[in-house]
Amino acid sequence: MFTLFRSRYADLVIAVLLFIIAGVATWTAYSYSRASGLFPIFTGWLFLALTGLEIAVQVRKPGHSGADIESGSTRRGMLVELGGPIWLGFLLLVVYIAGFLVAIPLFLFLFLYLAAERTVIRSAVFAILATVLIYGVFAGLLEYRLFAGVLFDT
Amino acid sequence: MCSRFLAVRCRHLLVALLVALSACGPPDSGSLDQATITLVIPYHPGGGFDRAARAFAPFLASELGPDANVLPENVPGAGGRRGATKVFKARPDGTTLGVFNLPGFVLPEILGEKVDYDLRNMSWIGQLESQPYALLVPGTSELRSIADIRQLEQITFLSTGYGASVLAATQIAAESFRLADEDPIFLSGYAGTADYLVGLIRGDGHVGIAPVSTAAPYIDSGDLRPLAVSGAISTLEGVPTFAELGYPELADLGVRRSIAGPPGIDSQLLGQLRDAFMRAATNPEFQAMAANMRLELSPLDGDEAAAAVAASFTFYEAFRTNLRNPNAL
Amino acid sequence: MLDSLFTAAAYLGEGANIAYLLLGVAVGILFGSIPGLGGATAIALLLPLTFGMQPEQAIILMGGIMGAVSIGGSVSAILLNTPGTAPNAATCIDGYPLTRQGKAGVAIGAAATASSIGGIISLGILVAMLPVAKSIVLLFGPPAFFMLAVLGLTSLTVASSNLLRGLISACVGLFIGFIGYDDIGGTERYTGGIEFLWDGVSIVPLLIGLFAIAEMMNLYRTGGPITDRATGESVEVVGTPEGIRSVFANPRTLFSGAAIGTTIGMIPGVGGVVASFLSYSFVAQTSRDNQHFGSGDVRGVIAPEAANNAKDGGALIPTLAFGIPGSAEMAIFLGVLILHGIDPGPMLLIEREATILMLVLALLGATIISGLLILIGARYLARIAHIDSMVLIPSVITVSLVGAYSLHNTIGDVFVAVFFGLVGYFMIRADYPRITLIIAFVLSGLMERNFIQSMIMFEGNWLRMFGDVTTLVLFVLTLLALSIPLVRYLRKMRAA
Repeated sequence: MFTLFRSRYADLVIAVLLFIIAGVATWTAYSYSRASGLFPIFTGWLFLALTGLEIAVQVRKPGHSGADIESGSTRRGMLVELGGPIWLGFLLLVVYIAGFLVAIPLFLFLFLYLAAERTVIRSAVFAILATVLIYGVFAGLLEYRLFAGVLFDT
Repeated sequence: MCSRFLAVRCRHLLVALLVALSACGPPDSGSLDQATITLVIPYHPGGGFDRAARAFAPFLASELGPDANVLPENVPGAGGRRGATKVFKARPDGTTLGVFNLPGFVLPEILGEKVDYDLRNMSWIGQLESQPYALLVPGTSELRSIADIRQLEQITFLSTGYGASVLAATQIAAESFRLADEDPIFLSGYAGTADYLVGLIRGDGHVGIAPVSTAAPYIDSGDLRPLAVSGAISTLEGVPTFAELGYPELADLGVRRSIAGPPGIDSQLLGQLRDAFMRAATNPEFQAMAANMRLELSPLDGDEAAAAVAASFTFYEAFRTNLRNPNAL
Repeated sequence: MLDSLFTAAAYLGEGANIAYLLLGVAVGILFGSIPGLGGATAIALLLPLTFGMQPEQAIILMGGIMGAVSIGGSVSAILLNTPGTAPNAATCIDGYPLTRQGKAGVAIGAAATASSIGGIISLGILVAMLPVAKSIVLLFGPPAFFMLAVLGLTSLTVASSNLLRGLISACVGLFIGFIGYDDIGGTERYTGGIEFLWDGVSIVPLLIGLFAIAEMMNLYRTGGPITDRATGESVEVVGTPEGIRSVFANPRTLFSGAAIGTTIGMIPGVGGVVASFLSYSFVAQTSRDNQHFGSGDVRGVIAPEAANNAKDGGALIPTLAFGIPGSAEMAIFLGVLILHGIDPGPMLLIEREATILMLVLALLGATIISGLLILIGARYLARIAHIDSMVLIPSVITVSLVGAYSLHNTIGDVFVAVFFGLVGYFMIRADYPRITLIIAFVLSGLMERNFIQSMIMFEGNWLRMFGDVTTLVLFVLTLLALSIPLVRYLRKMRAA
């Protein structure tokens, strides 16, 4: 998929994807009661028409999209493109399983050490300080109970 | 020398740990006077429900015991069902209670929806509030009585959305007034009570039903006029009750707020909670605060509260066919 | 009225009460700047604190918070492309590009000044309009609300650079708005059986994802600090005064922003997001020389910031006239009033004039004080943009997720934020505008609810909607909004 953004047909594929989503949404809308389905059906058909138009526009001139075509070597480009989502997914996973108290310092430490290439000490210190600060404000000052993760939640 | 120092430190630590552990342990099964009780509020903070519960919590706590704590916790979502489910599924050791709105929590089941809680089996502690409903028309309206309403060629009722107590009450009233033939319009879907009351003032519709305390400011200013009130005795000067006007079946319309715990609470604990509840609810200081906050205090003990719930079910079951969504088309 | 004004001012001037105001301002700025928190949260949290206070003191505290929140939010919007509160999202559009050009000080200076003056103007309008407050609220029924939503959506979509993609994004936004329980039709829509979605998607996690998280992931890809040009000390120092001056150099932008903000604020349920985006779009469409909007035109900061403070003055009108809260903060504020024995409703204005004026003065004070504080701190705040992005990215993402969770204490909101973070990143890379998605989402409920209600009211005959004067006026404005780009296109053709 990362190569998609650099392909000339990127916009076309995206438009088709949106067209399919529009179709599913409209089809689902027909299963609702009339009052509940009215607006979604109307919007759905509009959505279908618009994405159909976009497909037509892309088919006629598949020029380069707003997505930029900078590139380094394929593998580096791939990693950078997906790096953000991967780190994000990792954070979400740890938050869900073990809660914020574990996830925040772990994520910060690993990110700074691996992605930002800081030293172990600096990464650890920042991770701990940041966690203390966040917990100080949210849990201490505001008395929120932050998510403890499915592992620890009774 | 070092090891002796460490030994002392270790001992202190051990003692501290033991104290901490014992404080964390479950309360003695016989008593709640040192317990920390969670009072679940199934709505967002800031609303009327929330205010009532938060005002009551400290009074309940002090009646349970000097070291007891009652902590309100907001668990909003799914129209209140998330909070209700949380209480229903909690451990029946008396440390989780919830504030419930009737008939708000009764209706989903009557309307045929799947619910994960069973109101009839909860351990009812007591009823806090009972709010009558008022039948309202705009201040400038020419309608002066229910008979006038029945004369209208096309009548439009205003209310909040499907699933809300007010729409149900409106449909029941329309049935009671025998308006089915006139095919009334139920303009539902207003975001909140204040919204449809202003809609009424604006003239979006002819009639609306609302809790008396919410409507009171508009009645005082003359923007709205009450034609009737539910309940056994009228709480509005000069306004007859539904019963007095010949519609006794509408006397039970209204909103109640009661406190309950999950099913199966030990009878001794339940007794403790119920006693503390009644003492707190009849505490003159609380009553003064409640009056200031426009709460319609009407304390009932646990058994009466449970009976009221059962009566609610019976009442709304009887009208089940009138409660279908008027706007599903 | 003048008597009450002096009483209120005198009370406010007393030592302890000024302290409450300052506390409110401090809390407001802090909560405003952290995405996921916000004015409503701040007021709800401090509510128990007010139990022991005099009602007037509670009001001063609340006024302090409300007046300072959106200025706090503008700082994060400008520096990090992360709207601190939902209405600040419009400030991101031109505020963040300014930061990238090393002009964070200019943007912050402009934002703080515009916010303060916008707030002052709206409070003036409020006081002038109080006698007709009720009539204003009564002008807007379901048909008018529907047409207003249409106006908002059209004028904003038409402002996007790629109209077709703007419309597609809008459709996506509308569908996201459909998720949840529809209480007119009585059906659960697009929830896939997930109970958390019964209430629909909340705007705050949506914004956090689409703006903060998406932007951070994009920054990860591009690398470097946010401000990519090497800027010296000198640029920052002159930045703030230049920002302040720019506000006075663009009075039309300032006044239109304040006017639109106050007007939209008056309409309950519409809210600050619409106010700020509408004023942005109005200025972007109608200014001369508007090619730079979206890439760092300071007027694109002045307009929405004036609007989102002005809406507080406007929001007081339905609140005071009928006890209908004009915004989420007002809703909780009404709760505070009730707690202290003050009855919101039509009689409030008559019976409690001094109390209301106290709130107005507190809002005024908060607006000015918070503006000054931000201006003074602007130079230091602007440094944030120079922080290495590799440190900034994980910090912002972490705080964003914690903020998203804190909103309703639900892990579901965190999932929403992450999901839309990915969607937003996708949209940035594929060049689909996120703004129209947000606006459509915000307006989707308003539009649908009021359309269906109008259909019920008029028994299916929708032409009767135009019998209402307000609706007709809004319809004409919609046509005008649609025609502006057309006219401009024709003019360009003629010039060529």
